[in-house]
Amino acid sequence: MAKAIGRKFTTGASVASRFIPVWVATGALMVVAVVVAPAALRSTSWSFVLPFTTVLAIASLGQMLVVMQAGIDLSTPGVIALGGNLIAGLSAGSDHKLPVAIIACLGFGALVGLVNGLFVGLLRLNSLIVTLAVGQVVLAWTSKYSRDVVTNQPNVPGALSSWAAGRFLGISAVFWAGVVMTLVVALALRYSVGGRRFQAVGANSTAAWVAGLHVRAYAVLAYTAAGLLYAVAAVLLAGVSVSIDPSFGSAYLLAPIAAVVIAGASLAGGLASAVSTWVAALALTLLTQMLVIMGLSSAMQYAVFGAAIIVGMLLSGDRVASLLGRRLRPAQGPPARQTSPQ
Amino acid sequence: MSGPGATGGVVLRVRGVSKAFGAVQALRDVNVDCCAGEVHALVGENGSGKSTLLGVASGAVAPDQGTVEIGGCQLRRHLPAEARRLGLGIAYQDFSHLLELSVAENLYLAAPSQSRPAYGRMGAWAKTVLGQFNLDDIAASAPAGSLSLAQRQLLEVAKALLTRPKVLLLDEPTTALGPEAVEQLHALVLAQARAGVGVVYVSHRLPEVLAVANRVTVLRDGVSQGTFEAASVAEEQLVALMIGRSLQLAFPERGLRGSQQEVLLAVSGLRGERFGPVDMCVHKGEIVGIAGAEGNGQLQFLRALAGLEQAAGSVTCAGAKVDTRSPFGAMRAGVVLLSGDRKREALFPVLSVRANTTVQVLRQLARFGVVGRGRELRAMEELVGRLRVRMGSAEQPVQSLSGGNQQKVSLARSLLRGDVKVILAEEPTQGVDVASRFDIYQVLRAKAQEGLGVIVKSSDPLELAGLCDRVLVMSRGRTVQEIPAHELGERRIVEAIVGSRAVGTAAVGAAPGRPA
Repeated sequence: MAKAIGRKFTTGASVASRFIPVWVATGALMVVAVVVAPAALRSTSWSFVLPFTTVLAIASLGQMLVVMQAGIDLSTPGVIALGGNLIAGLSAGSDHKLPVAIIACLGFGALVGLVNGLFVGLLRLNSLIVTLAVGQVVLAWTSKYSRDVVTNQPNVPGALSSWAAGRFLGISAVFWAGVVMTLVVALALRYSVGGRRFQAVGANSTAAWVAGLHVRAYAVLAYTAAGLLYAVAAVLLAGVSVSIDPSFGSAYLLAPIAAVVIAGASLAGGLASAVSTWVAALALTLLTQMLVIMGLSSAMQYAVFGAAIIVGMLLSGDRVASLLGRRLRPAQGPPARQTSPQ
Repeated sequence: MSGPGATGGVVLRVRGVSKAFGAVQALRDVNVDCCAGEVHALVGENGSGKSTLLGVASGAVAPDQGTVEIGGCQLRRHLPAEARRLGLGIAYQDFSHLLELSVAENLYLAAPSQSRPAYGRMGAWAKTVLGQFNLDDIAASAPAGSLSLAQRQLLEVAKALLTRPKVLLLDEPTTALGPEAVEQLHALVLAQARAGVGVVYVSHRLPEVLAVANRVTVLRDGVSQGTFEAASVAEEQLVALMIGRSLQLAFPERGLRGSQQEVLLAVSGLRGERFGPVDMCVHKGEIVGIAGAEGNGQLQFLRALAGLEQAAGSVTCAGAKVDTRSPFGAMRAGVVLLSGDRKREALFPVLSVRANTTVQVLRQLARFGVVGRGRELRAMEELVGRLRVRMGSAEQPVQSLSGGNQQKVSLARSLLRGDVKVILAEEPTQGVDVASRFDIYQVLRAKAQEGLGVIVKSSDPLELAGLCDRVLVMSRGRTVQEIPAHELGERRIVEAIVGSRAVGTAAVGAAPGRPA
């Protein structure tokens, strides 16, 4: 039997099969776009789509880390709003205060994540409710700060917005920043000791505990890293948006969850792919852009995200994996502990 | 074989019942009758089909063939509610209480709707009910969770009796009971029998059950070995009927030991919620078995050693103290658990075979924090080949493997670590096909010969007899017997499990006499 191990690495048999549907769906979406809304694929459209894809992708990577620990993070819009307002408020529009503003933005993002993580990971509270509550607190504080400070000086420092408008190899600099971060997360999860343990803890925290891993630390880490990634998304979004308005970041409650689900992550934890999540973020942004071009109101995009989550849950991830898994089971011996009557 | 020992008519009639779970034939053409006023004991080893038979009789399990009649009416839809309506009450081994609710509320919920009092009078009603069953020491207002295990068991029986059943099924009712509680329970059972209830009493404790039963039916491998008058059958005859499974199993050679008598793992005064105090030791190169009927603390003892269960007492491994507060602590001392609950505690079902195998050795495989895929695969393949894991690819989810191969993967995982000194194997071959069993036995034996210590907790006496160098038998949380290598055999182990040396049997004689 050992001989069989060496050769069949790339057959459909693998754990990665759950991530296939998002690529197929994105391809199909492109084809549909060519027919019904070709304008969505023109280069003027791409210069809009790619930066927003990147912001969504990075927020989704944060959400993905939380989903990998079998949680859901609803504090995303709060952290992004806080981050954007801090950039404008602390820098007061001047370039030389920009580094301080960015550091504060990232620091507060990680701090909010840490608070979430301590409540969920250490105190074992429900992630949905904790992150919703923490997110609301952050949002409330942000809207006060926004009214008191940011409304008078809503502009993002020129250095950030001109960097965000800049191009490298003809493509948005924001896009490249997103690609680099996606690869870093993907490689860390795949090859680093910590990343691998992180996956194991998410896949089955009880078994990880029995195996001697420090389960709680990884859960806290997931939320903290997620908060940091939301803050990064906030910096990029601030750069793209040029000025901060009161609704800054509000679109990022459902969209990152949609991207993670469509990308094929297991909501029970453990399995997710950073690259697929990036592709899903692209598909969602493209879809929104298509709908706008076709004349649907921007409010309809929430309906699209909602529907995308449902369809994603129906079509990808666990279902695909179990379907392929059943095909795969070698025919041998009686199945263990089958309890249903024949 | 003999006719009914008591006067009343047949209240439970099981005819030609067969039931298979997958490839396992749990029951084969079983016939059992229980008459009104009779205590009918049902005995057999772990896994002989007792629980399945109770399940069929109580409507929880639909048989493949055969019929069940309760009070003369045939069970048609095989639903617990139907069985209950026809007059069957059952007291489960792992109780059906809602622990947050009070005793009165638990009784209220268990009562049939027509005999429920007005909600406001529940307290007084519950007190009367408890008085009827001579359970005055249980406070009606106490939360069920605050009762002792013995009290919970008695409450479970009281709940089953609330429906005024014609036939009462008791599943291992004395597992958690001390001598006085056994006496109290038996008094209750006999009083019910005198009042005309037919009682089916499942137990592995032969002396206890023989003291109250009129008749005894023996099950082995799902086949009835006959029904006997309790007064005219000896314990040894029953044991002879219970053992002798037909399954052919091969075991690896024990090999030469003797010179290696160095103590590796020493446990002294270890006690937890369901066991203790336990004193034992494991020598280098030795496989020690833990036997006992299910629910006698073997599992908790093993898990406490691995740091999964709270326990007090001292454990040392190779002279160093083992920190049993967490699995991490136990592992640092070289003690690893091979959990029997693979899905929940051993495997990462959605992750690949590769990731499952190497999860505990990532640091050793890494260079500068990076786990090289090639090094990882080489480490895995060697073990996977040795254990003969059957799989399509190293990247397939481990949940898509068969049970036996899943078990091999979780075994391989702990073996990859170089610093393991003691392996604690909980039901290492449960749900594992026969071919894989031998591979697992062989690896455990090979590890022992390398100088490790192994503890195997198994509910299968045959497995323990074949694999182990000596076997400890646990009853009510304590080790009651140690069986040395030269005495090991299925019969010897079963005798020890069911035998009269089990604590608390002396009290049975004091119970009120058997009904006519």
